[in-house]
Amino acid sequence: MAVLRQAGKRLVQAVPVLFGVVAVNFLLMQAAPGDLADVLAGEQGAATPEMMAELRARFGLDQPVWVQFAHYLGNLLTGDFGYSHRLGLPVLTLILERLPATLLLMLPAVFLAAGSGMVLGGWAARRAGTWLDGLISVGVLIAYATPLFWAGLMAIVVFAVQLQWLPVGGMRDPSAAYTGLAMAGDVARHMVLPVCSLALFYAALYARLMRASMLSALQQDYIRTARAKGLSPFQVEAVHAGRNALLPVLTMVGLQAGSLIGGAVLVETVFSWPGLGRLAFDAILRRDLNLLLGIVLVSSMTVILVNFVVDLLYGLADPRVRAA
Amino acid sequence: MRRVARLLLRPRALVGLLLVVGLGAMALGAPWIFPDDPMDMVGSPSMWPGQEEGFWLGTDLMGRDIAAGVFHGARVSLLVGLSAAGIALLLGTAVGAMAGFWGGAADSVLMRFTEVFQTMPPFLFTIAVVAVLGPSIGNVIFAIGITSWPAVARLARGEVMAVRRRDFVDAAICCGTPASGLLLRHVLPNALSPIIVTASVLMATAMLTEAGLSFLGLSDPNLVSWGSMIGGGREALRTHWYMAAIPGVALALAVLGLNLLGDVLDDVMDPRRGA
Repeated sequence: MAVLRQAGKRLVQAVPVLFGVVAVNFLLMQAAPGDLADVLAGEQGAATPEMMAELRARFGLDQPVWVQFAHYLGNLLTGDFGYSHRLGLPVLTLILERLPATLLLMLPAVFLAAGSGMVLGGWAARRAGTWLDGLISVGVLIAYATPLFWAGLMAIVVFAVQLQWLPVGGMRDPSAAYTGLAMAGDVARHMVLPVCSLALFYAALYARLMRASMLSALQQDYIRTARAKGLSPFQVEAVHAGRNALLPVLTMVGLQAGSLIGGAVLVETVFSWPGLGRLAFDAILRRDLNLLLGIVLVSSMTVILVNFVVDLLYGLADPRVRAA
Repeated sequence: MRRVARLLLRPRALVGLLLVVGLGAMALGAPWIFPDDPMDMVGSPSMWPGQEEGFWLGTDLMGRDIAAGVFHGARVSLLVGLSAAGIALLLGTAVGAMAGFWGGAADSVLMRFTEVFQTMPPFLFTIAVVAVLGPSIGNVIFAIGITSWPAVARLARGEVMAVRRRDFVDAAICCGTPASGLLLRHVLPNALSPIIVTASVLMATAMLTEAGLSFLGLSDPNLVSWGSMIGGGREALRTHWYMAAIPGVALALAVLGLNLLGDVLDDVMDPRRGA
């Protein structure tokens, strides 16, 4: 019950933030040189001043800014995220079409990064000060400094071009018409490099965090108690210390959701992955601002949603949060 | 002093300092070492590193000297890193300090405002700002600065709130110090060191963001940048992978140096460490 009440409170808090995001988005749209009428006129080649005025009146562009903002807000509330005049489709349709591919990339990347980061960081903390700790730390430092799109390119050179183990890019093999399980296998093969490139930086981040968090957890009194009780090292380290060391990492996963979307834009561009990021890149190339800002808005909403879920998980993992 | 020297002489710190000094030297020395425009075609295209005298890092698809590009790219990277981090520090400290100093309603409003900027995915937001304003170096700096201050604001708020409760602040209030003097002369100077420590990591992040932007083609078309070099090298990835590899190594080393420097600053500022 307390968890639900907490969740409700968080949802209410998210409303002003969402409103702010919409306002910033609107501001960006206003700041862009030229308006919709210019874009449409440009597409048709030429337009008389009368035609421009008529277009502006039809789209409400001759109204005061606050009326336009109210109009924009009303549209969003009814699920109308604007129209991509370059692609001739509603922005929301385009986004929803590409969202699954991005999720297919991001979710495994998060799990891979969090999983490997926690294992490596926890391991380094248990062996703090040994050569193993040093090795993991150096690896983490390097992975943390490597731009992920560049890591992706280098992975293509090694694994796709030289060794030819994995495909260069795309989501499936265009020359073969697989179905069922064979198709899933094909997609999985195409996923390996992009998922690993995206996960690399975050794995380093989580490993760093987990090491510090685990080191402090291992010094707590209840760990000494657990050891004194004669529990196995695995029980003590993975269950007793691990569970408490997990919380900062969980918070970080929520905080990094937005940054992960940014990483996906680059990785999708590198691997020609047909997701939201690639759509954003194409929108930049075509100067399709409606679409680009629509993607920014949907991603911001995703971030709010992810943080909401993380909050709920936090409540489940730590009883003290529930009480507060 | 002994403590600082001991902290600076550790291998990690030395590597970090060396890399950052190297980056600075490359950026400052580029106009003397490679006085010609790095965008000019100077040799035959697609020469591997060391293949011909005078082009020790080879040439790219357009016959431009990669070594010259790397040196001049360091200038752009450093300029963007320094200025964007500067903007983020100023904005973040201002917002965070006001929120922490006043508290109450001002705090809630400013923190909601910060949350808005924290919610929008930073890289996408930067892309949108540059796409709207146009890809000039000034706009790139502005876009990165305006999207990377929320973390600084949160940190500054926490520090200011902690310092605000200390006794010497009460003493200053009793002396009749006006609020502005209280914040600027008494609270902020004592809250600043953890904020300054973040500067080098902010710079590293800004440089990575700049590289990502220019990789996507959102950079000043008249300037060489490491990201645009990687983007250009991508065209020849199958046959001439060194074109993308070399500027990437330069970028990774620069970011590594700044991250290590950040750790060192953190240690130096914390009197409990290395004693």
